[in-house]
Amino acid sequence: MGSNAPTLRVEDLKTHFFTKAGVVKAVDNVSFSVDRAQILGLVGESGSGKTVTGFSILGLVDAPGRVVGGRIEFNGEDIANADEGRMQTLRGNRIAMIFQDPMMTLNPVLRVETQMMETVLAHQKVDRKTARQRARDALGQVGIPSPDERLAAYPHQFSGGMRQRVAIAIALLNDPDLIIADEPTTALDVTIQAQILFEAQKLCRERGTAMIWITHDLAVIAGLADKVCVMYAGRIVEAGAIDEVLDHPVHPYTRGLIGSVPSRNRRGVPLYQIPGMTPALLNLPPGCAFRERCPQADGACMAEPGLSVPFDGRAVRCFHPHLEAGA
Amino acid sequence: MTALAEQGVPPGAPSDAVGTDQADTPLRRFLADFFESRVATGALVVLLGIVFIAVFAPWISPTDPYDLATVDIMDNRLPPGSESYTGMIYWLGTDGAGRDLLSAIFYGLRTSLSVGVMSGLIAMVLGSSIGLTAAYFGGRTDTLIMRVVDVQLSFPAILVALILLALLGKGVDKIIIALVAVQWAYYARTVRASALVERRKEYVEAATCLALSHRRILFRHVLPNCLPPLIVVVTVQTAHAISLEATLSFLGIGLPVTEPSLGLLIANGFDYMLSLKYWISIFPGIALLITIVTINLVGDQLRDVLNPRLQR
Amino acid sequence: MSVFVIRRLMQSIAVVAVMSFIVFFGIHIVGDPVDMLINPEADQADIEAAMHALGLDRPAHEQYWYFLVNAFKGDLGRSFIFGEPALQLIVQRMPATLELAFAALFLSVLIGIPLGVYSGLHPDTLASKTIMSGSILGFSLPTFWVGLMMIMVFAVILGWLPSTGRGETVPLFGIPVSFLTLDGLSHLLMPAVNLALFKMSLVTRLARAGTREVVHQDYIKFARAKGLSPRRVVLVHVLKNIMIPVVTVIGLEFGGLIAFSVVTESVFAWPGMGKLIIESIQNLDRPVIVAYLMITVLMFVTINLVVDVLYSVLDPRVRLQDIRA
Repeated sequence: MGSNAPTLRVEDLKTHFFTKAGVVKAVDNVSFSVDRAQILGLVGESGSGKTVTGFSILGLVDAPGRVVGGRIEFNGEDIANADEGRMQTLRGNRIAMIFQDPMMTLNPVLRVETQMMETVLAHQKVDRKTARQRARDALGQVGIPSPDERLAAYPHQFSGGMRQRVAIAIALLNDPDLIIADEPTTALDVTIQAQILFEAQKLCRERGTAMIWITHDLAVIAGLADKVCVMYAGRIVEAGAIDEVLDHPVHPYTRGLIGSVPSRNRRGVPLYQIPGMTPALLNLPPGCAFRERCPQADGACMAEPGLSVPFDGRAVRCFHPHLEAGA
Repeated sequence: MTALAEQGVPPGAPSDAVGTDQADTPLRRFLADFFESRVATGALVVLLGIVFIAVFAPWISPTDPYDLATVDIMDNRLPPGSESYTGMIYWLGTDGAGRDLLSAIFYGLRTSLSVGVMSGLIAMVLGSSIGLTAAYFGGRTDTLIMRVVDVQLSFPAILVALILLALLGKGVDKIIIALVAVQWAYYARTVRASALVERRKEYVEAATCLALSHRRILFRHVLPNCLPPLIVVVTVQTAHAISLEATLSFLGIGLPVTEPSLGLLIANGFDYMLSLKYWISIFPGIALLITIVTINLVGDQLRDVLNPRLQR
Repeated sequence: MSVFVIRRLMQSIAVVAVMSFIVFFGIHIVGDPVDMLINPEADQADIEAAMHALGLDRPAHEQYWYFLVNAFKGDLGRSFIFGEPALQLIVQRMPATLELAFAALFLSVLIGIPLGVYSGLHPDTLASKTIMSGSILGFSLPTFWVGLMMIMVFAVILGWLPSTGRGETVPLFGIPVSFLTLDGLSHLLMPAVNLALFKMSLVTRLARAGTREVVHQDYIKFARAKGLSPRRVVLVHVLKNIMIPVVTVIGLEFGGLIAFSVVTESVFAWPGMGKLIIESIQNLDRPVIVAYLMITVLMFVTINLVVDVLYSVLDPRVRLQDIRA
């Protein structure tokens, strides 16, 4: 599973939002690591803290939110408390991010060319001509036809899928060590989604880039990621190699998620639904956050479960993990 | 009752229709909301004080500044706090003609406020009626009226006033005409917009089915529901009218010298300002300022308090 | 598109026609046209000759036609006071007014946008609250009074700036301008600030509202995620987005600046059209009044027409709406 020095190691990350109504623990004690050329899937419902985890790594958590604890080690350097200047040199350069909605991520009043070249010029001492050349090459790499003409266009002249390709091209411009992709295919058609997944995987493997793929859809990362972390209410509830987790989920929440994916179900059998709603993160009650919706919950779940290792290569945060084989 | 309504209730009147149709609670809630803001409460108190001064100026002024018998030219341009030879103290000094400035300001407020309020009321009645007509009849009437409103609003207020005053000349009636001409379109637009919303509601349809007259439906049913935005526009436009009147009078094309408003007082003091006799111009200016700012503050609060009510 | 332009053009012509009608018949209804159009010091023979020359002995509709024909020829009568063609007087003073209006426009953008963007970026700081209170004052203070206070403070008490006139001018493309000489600039500063205050408040509020909306957009966060400096994020990504509404409003409000320069020019004795019209109204110099009104109305209608057409070019929705209508 990769080399000994991971590209990114996140340890006990805590990002809390201090609102007037109370503290929202959007990310609470989250730990994971990603190696070179590895793809980590970060799965969870909306509001589970996966996007905030991404922003925490980039140091882009806006007030009233704040990273309040933990380490974020990037290439061995702790950047959880790095100053803004340092973060600025890393962002878009060594760590790039792709956002969810391609219709919203490109500035509508600036040419694609401007938005790409500024990313190069912000980090590298090259002239505008070279910057433009790189922008053109990057567009070509993500499969945009006639990149020379497209450079001068404005975002609204691109389709959604094309815009997301532009955003990916921007992420690739400075050949980063880590790419955080926040549901980059959710807003796209299924066919385009598949193309983008394929290209992302290819690029990651070819360039040795580490990648965090944030999604709410297990099916998306099934064929893409190497390992997966399942988040629930700001915490990681289960982590392990992707195929093993999909084949043999031990946390009741993961089991529920997998049960609600159509392809994993037998035809004719109704889809499983996790009862209840995602809990509000504001003033979360003590104990296991999933207990209200969990079929296995009992008195023990009134206490907060720690992360345990039921067997090699798997971590789970549950008092009643589903450990029988052949689930 | 019906006969009275048929004769046409003046658009200003239906405010008590709101009071009778609804219980006292909304009014009380409205007042509670309004007084929540200390700034607005303070502004309202000051504004009431100004209105009091304006109404009772002849009785509370230390002197009658326009009674030639009491004005002594020898007392001209005295600084604030000076004493006249009769032993009276000029708290704010005297102007170029030896008038007590405090009294002149009291009388000036009276003139400025009455011109502002008068023009505001006339413009409201006129503008609201036109706006209601446009909304109620729709179609070509509406298109034509709103075209005129748009064209009028595309010209700045001061230009419209300038055109009219250049044609009409000076005088209280002339400036009121000019101020009404400047304001009516705002009322028309506001009332039309909220009346259009009201018109689509069922109670208007119900009233139409009962074969009530157009006028009765408009004034008894639609207009009262347009009141909240109208109240806000009234405050803003009155402040605007007072400011515009002062500006025009300062320029010497508004009120005649026989009706000295604050703008005229300020203009009179302008000449002395260069010789550092600042008070003649500054004190009327401060009075004008306080008037406009307090009206605007009260208007702002009214807008904040009335807006959620609209959505409710 | 062209349908829209033609319709808008027709409307503008209609407005000018209505205004010429109001001005012309206003003069005839309100006073004796002989008084208004002929120098009151002329003797009986002169009056009759002039009446005949002006066509005043003919019926009103013929006179109106005559007025229009003359107006088209650029003849709007002679000033009683100056004895020069009224139109010429106004055209001579137009550069001063336009210079003042442009200077005010420049200032309101130059100061209003940074203030608005700052208070939009940091809405809860004391500085922002001060800026917003200031903009409320800018809206409610009467321009002429602020002008007086500026004269008192900066000209009378401190003696830093001159209080009246245009100062030294130099010709630029044959038009005298003040802003190219130090003396002229010192004369221009106070009137321009005075005239700019209202628009500055408006621009500040627009820029603030725009900024507050834009900073929460994904593309701003994306720009930050690209590692751009805060400077570039604000100056390029935020600013470019808020400029569209700001520029639109500035275009529409430019006419307002010209109209309100009447006040500022009178306070600071700035020798422009505005000062001329106020003096002409006071002196009952009617040919100049009529000429000023006609010229200003024409200017306004033109500005509104140009802004409307430009806007429809920029915003396809406006065009569609019009085609459907």
